[in-house]
Amino acid sequence: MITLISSDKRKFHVLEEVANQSLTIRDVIEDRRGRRRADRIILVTNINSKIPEKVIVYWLRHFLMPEEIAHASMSHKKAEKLKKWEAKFFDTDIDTLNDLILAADSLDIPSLFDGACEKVSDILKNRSAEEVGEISKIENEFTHEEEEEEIPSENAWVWRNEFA
Amino acid sequence: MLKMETNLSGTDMISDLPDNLLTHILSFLRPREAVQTCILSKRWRTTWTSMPVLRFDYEKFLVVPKKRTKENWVKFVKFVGQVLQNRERLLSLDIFEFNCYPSRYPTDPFPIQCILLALKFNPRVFSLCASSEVFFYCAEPIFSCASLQNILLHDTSFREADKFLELKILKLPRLKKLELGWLRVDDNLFQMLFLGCPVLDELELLRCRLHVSLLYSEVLNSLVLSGCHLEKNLVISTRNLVHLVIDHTRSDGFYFSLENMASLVDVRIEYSNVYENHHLVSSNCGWNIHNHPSNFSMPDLTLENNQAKKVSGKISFNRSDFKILKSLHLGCSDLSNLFNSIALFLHNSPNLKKLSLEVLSKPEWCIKSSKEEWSNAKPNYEKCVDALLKQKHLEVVLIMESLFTREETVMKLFQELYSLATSTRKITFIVFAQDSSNYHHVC
Repeated sequence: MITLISSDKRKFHVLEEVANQSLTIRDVIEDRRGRRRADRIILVTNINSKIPEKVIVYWLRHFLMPEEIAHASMSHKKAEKLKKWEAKFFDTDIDTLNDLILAADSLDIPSLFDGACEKVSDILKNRSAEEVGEISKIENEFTHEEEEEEIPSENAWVWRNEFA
Repeated sequence: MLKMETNLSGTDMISDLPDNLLTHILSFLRPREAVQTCILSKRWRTTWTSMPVLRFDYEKFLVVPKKRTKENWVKFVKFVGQVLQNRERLLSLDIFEFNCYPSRYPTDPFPIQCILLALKFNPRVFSLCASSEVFFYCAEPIFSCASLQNILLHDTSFREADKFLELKILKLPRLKKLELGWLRVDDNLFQMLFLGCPVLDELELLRCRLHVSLLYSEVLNSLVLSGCHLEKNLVISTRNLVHLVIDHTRSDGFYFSLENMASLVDVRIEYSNVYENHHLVSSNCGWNIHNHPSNFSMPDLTLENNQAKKVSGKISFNRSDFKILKSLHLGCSDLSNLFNSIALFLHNSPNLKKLSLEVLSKPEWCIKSSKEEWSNAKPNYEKCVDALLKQKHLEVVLIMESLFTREETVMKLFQELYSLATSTRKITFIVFAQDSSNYHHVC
C-alpha cells in the first residue's frame, strides 16, 4: 500500500501495483524498496485533492483491464468499451483537464497525458479565435492593429481559406 | 459542437501550462489549426513553431474530400514548406508524418524539398507515404539520417513496384523499427540494412516484392511479411527472432526456409488463394511443406482447372527446433495442407501452449464436398493427430472460421479434434463461428 498526499493534505491509499502506472511513483518506490513504512508515503504537492481522485479512478480502470484476451474480436470489444469510458472520463471542464495534464506530466503517466491533451485540442478544434479565447479565458492583449494586420500578414499562408 | 462548461474562476488556465505541455496539446490539432492559434494572444504567437509532432495529410487537408486538383496539391505542399521553414531551428522534431497520395504530379520538386527540410530537424519517427518517384530522390537522405528510430515508407502508387529501392549509403545507428510498403527490395538492400542498423528490432514488409535470397540478422526481434511477393527462394535466418508473421504471401513456386529460429515464441502463418491476371492460379497455392531432415514430404498438388498451373510454394525447415515456441497460428484454405503444416510445426515445438487454426475461404469453383476434402486430407490428418497427441503442454486450441468458408468442414474438424482430446487430456477447445459472438466453448 502506498499513501499519496495532495497539496491540501488529503491522504489517498493506493495499491502499489495500481500506482505503478505512474512512472515517477514507480521509480520512487524502486528507490525506497526495503525501507521503513513511513517512506511509502509520497507527497504530491502540486495538485489538489480533486485530481488524485480522478487519477486513481483512471488507474483503477486501466488496472482492471485483463491483459490476456483470447481472440482479436473480443479484444476489439474491450478496447471499444475502454474508449467510451475514457471519452466520458475526459468530458470535464477545461480547468480539471489542465490539472490532469499537469498531474499526468509530473507523475509521468503517458496514456493519461495524451488523453487529456487530445481532449483539450478537441476543444480548440474548429473554433474561431474569439471562441477559443472565451472558453479558455485567454486574454487577448494584442492591439487592434496587431490583430487585424500584423499577425495575419505574418503567416498569411495559413489564413486564406484556399482548400474549398 | 462541444458544449463547454464556462470557467468559473475566469483565469486563463491553459496559458499557464509550461511550453512543452502546450506544444504537446497543439500536436493533436491538425497543423493548420495549430498554426492559427498564433492569433490568440502574445503567449501563443510563437508557440506553434516549437511543436514536436507534425502530421501532414493531404486527404485531411482538403475541405471538399477527393477534390485533388493540381492547385490544391501545390497549396498543400507550400503549406508544409512554410510550416517547416518557420519552425524553431534548434528544436528537434519528434514525429514527422507526410502523407501525399496523388502520383499524378510526380515531377513536382516541392515534396522532396519539404522532406529534406524535415530531415534537418533530426526527427525520431519518420513516416512517408508518397509516390515511388519521391522515394528515389529521398531514400538516401532518409537512410542516412542518424537520429531516426522509426521509419515507415509506403509507396502510394498502389501498383507493384518495378524498380528496386537502391541505396549507396545506409547508416541508421538508432533505427529500431522499419516498415516498408509496396516497394521492391533486393539482397543488396537487405545486406546494407542489417549492417547499417545495429539495433534494428522490428521489420515489417507489406506488399513488397522480395528479390531476396537471404534474410540474416542477429538482432531482429519481430518480422512481419504481409502480402509479399516472392521472387526467389528465401532463407530466413534470425537467431533472436521472437515474433514471426507470414501472411498471404504470393510464392509463385518459390519457398521460404526458416533456419536458426531458436527464440521463436509466437508464429502466425496464413496462406490462401492468389489471383493473377484476374484468373485464379491455383486453389492449392498454399505451400506444400517440406521438412528436410526427416524427409517428410507431400506430393505436389495438381489441379482440375485448365487455367491453373502447378504451383508448389513451400516452407521448409532446416534443423529448426522451436524449443520455446508458445503460440502458433496457422491459416490455410486447403485442409490437407493445413494438417501437414500443423504436423510439421508440432513435431518441432515441444512446448507449444496455444494453437489456433483458421480455415480460410476458397473460391467457389474449387470447393469440393466436405467428404472428398476429408478423404484427401486423411493421411495428413493422421500425421497431425499423431503430433498433437505427443504435445505435453498444449492448453488451448482455437478453431476459427473466416467468412464464407465451409461450415461443414470446420464443424467436422472440430468434432474430430474434440473427440480426440476428450479421450486423452484436458485441452480447451474454442470454436469461433462466422458470427464471432456466437462461439462454443468446450472444456
